[in-house]
Amino acid sequence: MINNRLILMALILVLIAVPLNISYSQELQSISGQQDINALMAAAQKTFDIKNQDAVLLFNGKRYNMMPDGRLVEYTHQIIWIGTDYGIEHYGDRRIPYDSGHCSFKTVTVRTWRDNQWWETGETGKVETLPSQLRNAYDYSDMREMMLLHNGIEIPCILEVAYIIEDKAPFRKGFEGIWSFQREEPAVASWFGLGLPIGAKPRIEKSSDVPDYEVESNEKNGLNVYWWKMGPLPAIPPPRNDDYYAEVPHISWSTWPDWKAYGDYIAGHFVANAAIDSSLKARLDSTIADARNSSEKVSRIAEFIETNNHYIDYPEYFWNTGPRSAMRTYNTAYAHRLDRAILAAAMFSKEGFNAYPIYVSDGYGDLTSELPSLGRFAGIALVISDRTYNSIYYPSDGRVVLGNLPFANRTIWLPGLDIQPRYIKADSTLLSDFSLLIDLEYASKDTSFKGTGYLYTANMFSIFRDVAGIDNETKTYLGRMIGGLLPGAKITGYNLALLNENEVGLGFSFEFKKPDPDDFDRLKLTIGEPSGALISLLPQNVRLYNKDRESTINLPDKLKQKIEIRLNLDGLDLVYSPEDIGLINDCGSFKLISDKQADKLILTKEIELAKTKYTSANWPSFKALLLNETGEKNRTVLLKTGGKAK
Amino acid sequence: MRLAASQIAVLILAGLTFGQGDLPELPPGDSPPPTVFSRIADAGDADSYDSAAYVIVVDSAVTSITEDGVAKTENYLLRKILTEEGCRQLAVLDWGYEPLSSYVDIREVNLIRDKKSIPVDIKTIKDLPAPQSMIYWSNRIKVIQLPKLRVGDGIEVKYFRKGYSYALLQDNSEPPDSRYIPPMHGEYFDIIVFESTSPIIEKKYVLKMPSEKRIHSQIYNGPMYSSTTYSGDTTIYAWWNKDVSAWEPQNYAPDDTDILTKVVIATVESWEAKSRWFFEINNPQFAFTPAIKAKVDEIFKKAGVTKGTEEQKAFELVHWVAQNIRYSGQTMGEGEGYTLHPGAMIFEQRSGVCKDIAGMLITMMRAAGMDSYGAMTMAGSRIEREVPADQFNHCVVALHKKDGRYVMYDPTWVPYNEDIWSKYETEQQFLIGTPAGHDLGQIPYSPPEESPLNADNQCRILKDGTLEGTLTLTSDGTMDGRLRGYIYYRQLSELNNTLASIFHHLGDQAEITSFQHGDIQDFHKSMWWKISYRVPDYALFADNGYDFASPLMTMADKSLYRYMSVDWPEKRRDDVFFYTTSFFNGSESIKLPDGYKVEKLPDKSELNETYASFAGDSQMKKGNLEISQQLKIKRRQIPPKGYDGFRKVMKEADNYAGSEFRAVTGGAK
Repeated sequence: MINNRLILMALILVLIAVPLNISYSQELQSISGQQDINALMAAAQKTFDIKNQDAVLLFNGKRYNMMPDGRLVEYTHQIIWIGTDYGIEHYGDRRIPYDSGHCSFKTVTVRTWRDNQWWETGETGKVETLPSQLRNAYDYSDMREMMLLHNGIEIPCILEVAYIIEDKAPFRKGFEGIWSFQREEPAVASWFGLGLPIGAKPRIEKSSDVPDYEVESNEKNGLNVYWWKMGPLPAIPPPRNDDYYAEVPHISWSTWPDWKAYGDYIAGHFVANAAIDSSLKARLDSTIADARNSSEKVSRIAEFIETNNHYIDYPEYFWNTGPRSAMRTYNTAYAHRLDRAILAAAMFSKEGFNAYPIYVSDGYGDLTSELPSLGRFAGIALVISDRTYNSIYYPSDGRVVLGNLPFANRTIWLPGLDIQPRYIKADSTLLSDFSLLIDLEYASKDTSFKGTGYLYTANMFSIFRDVAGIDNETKTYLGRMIGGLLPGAKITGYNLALLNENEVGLGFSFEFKKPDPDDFDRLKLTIGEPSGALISLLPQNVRLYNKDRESTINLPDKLKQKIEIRLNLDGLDLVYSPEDIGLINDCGSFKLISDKQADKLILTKEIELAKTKYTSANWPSFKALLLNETGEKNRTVLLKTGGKAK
Repeated sequence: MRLAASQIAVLILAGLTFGQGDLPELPPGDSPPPTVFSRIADAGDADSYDSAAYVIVVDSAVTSITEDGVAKTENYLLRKILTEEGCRQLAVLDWGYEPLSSYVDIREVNLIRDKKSIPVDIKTIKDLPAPQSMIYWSNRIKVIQLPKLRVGDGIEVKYFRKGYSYALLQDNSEPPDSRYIPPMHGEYFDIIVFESTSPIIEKKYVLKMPSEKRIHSQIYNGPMYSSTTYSGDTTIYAWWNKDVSAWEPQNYAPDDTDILTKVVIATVESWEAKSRWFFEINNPQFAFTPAIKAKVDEIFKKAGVTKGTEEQKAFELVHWVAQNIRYSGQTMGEGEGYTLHPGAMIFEQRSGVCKDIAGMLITMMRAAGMDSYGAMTMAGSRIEREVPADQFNHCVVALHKKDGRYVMYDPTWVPYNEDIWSKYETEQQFLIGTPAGHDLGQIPYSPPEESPLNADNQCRILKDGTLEGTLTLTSDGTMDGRLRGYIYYRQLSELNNTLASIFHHLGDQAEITSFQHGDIQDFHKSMWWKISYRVPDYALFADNGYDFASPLMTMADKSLYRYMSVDWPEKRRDDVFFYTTSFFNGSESIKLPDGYKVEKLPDKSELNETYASFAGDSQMKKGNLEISQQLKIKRRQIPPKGYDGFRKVMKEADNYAGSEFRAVTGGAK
């Protein structure tokens, strides 16, 4: 993970302490006097190809002091070399959120080193603002974003910013978090500190590449400060993954004694704030009055919340210590994720559902830990269930997803119910399989193509959540699926052969109009990507045209997809079908067989991704498999009408 | 309680007349004066307004102007909620204001429900810092949370505003008028728009002016009602409109004030008077310091123009300012908003808003002995010439030449652009601040040929269907900035991926094999790119021939010049607005595998409409397929009457880009 060569180089540099850039003054100290900026700059020049960097973090420091009286004090200190306008865009004007209701903000310095002098920012460059997302969120208006605007920027230059956010009085029951030593830019020195009352031991968990701490005594405040110091470090490997912490040195900490205490605290918010009054109950009753089953009830309640409540897209952890009551959230008509979850839980519970808060890990795999910290978990959601029904509700956008698939191969935690997070392993006996078999023929009489098909999906590919329901869910999904495979195709009939959470089998029929012939009287059938198939399970940042990729691709499972199209050639002449391909590499396999028989073309495409993690070294192989799957050449069939008819 | 005349006016507008119980019986067919309850009851429901979230029932403003030009406005706003969405949208009300310039007092907020008026406690109003981005002048907002709203509720708000432009505010009680005397002493202007994204039943604006003051006024973009009357020493003007449908913004639309019904009002005598005022108030700001002078000399020396012409020096200065004064504005306190910050301040901060960036250039030009001035303009929108109101949103620079001409410079809009005045701002009006006073001027029209994107693709199809070639992009005008943007908008480490994203439209298997480009900091030369690439499996070998599309036209359609692939709807209500004319000039030579020729070439296409034109041609020349396409957008703003022709051209270009080619042995002649 960390390039040992970089560390060695930096150590050598520190030892020899030779100033390598004459454009910077001989004695250039940070505001704290602890950092020799010339040495940091020299290390950056030696370690990183700075001509090709937008910025370099010469020093990136963060320290949290848990004071003996229970207050938290957060110190941030950064020294940044800027090389491009992109760098200025990211670091020239800093927007720092803080809760002015509970905390004070103090600027230590905002200054720019250019032309051998510091250019200090005055008071007009420290501007308190309201976050734009909270403009119409009256109850959340204690939040502020402090703008620290750097004066004197010219490329290149060095920026230094330091500030302190301090609790005015103790108000936190506990404090936890996660910190990455790597950032979007390379860093020469990256330090994380945790100050704890003397006698207390740090409760932390770190990745194996983070060195042991150094202790510094701060007797004045009655603290021991534990420091973890790293550097130089490259940038976080791009593109950034949902769970990028898995790839970078990081440290998690918590002051909660255990998961149970933390869980009881969160669950307590739900209990304490769940009451709804008769007016809301009346609206709730009318909303679900004629709902036919649990699924429909849940969907209507979710829709009711979407309609009546504006989602505030701002990190809810600022309000973790004091969420609002369900009624206040309903009456004010806006809410961040936590408040919405509480309102939704109250409404679902009132209608007889079990509704529990849940945290689901950002990444796949077993992330269970003794340390009560949610740093690698996504925002709060709800699990909704009754005797015959279970789903997950996402408060941020009101989505309700049936079944347990969203948890599969992830770590989950239900505060108040789970003693600690648990890993939900998908059924390992069942392959994650998407198999589609299509029989297709040309109906010359009504100039259309007609076909039947069978779709089998299992495990990660299971389309249970898409097709289970009491309206037109199955037909709607099949329409999307077949429309993706054969543009313009419409479902004419379907039936379920197999339906459970992990496996779905469906038979269906469809038709589509004969495509217009091209200038050479040929019909072009392009076999597209069916909805819900393999491509839809890839992370969005997988761009096959990228030459290189530094970050790991994580998949929920090993994936297998097979699409077989049996085209009856009655009334058609085959002009072109893809060539056979067989490719096996370290990431999996791809097979394409174009079996041309007398009256039939059987086109079979199979791809198997045999691992769940693909590192940057795997990228060329991974890409090769996918390019074969998506390539136009392997998707095209050219036909001419007027061939031998039945 | 004694009511001020303006308060009575508001009450009358709101229909809250006194003693209604004593009214004599009305003749048949007559209705009693409306009340707030009858207005809400009669306002209709969602079905009456195409499911709008709410309807503005009454929106009235009565503005009284003092001798000093201080504007005091009594506002009355009554809205009816039509849908749950309306309940959400109006749950919290807010009023923005600039504490240095204006004062806002929320006097009453009532919920109208079940024929009752339920007061909302205005003591719960919070006065907060406003959300701010790029301009940090410490603006504020007042917000109030309403009780849970219901469909059918009315929301009645009465509030008072006072202010002009900028002054200092020190406490919460209503400050004296002296703080709000406008910088152009005694003068008043306003622009009132009478349409909204919500439907309006009635909107009225009343202006009470001391009788010795005179106004210019004009209605634009639609019919309206108006009246003029007087009482004592006051002239009373009124404009109003009724039953106005909701306005739905369209893509590529001009600024709403260019198309919505509005009234523009100003007391200032003429543009010349405005010009003189702007000069006088700002001229002291341009004093230069020795440090600025030294920097100017350094810039000239570095560029080798110390003994150069004024034009050469001005060119170096505008680009230095554009590249080094970033857009991020701090306040300077009193005078903010209409006064350009002193050059020395901006030279130290190296940041500011447009006026400060312009001020820096003026200061540096003056340090270099040039006769430069500040000017105001309206970026992306029209100035109504007939009324010398403050129809400005942007500040620029005018350089007075020895022959009397003025040359316009805009450092705010030319970072990473070769121009001294962005061609995104052509046909824009401006007003230069000069001692003698100037009339409104206008930047000339820029034909599309001044903003070309020239794309030349020299490529070949190999026997296995691989496409390989070199794409050369050259540019000028607005397109120059676009080509520089491939570098400066993105992370440096992502450059290869940025370029690949252009070529991936030819297939995800596209690879960039090498690239070169112009220096993005060199504004003497237009930006260019030379990108070599290969795309395996590009052409499909089928039926003894190669099927393929034009690589260049595919990239133009999907990436380089996307206007043609926009789904332009058949009917359009508003003008189309692009900011700039432009010209895509594509040429391509595709060498085919030996012995192959294209079987059927698409017909030559030529379409020349008033606002756009397209020409596409394909020919076989010595074993090469030569394709050319020229698409021009001839005006930056296209009126509805020209839309059909414009759309026809875009569709034709899009269709031509979709042409399929087939190369076979022998093939067409």
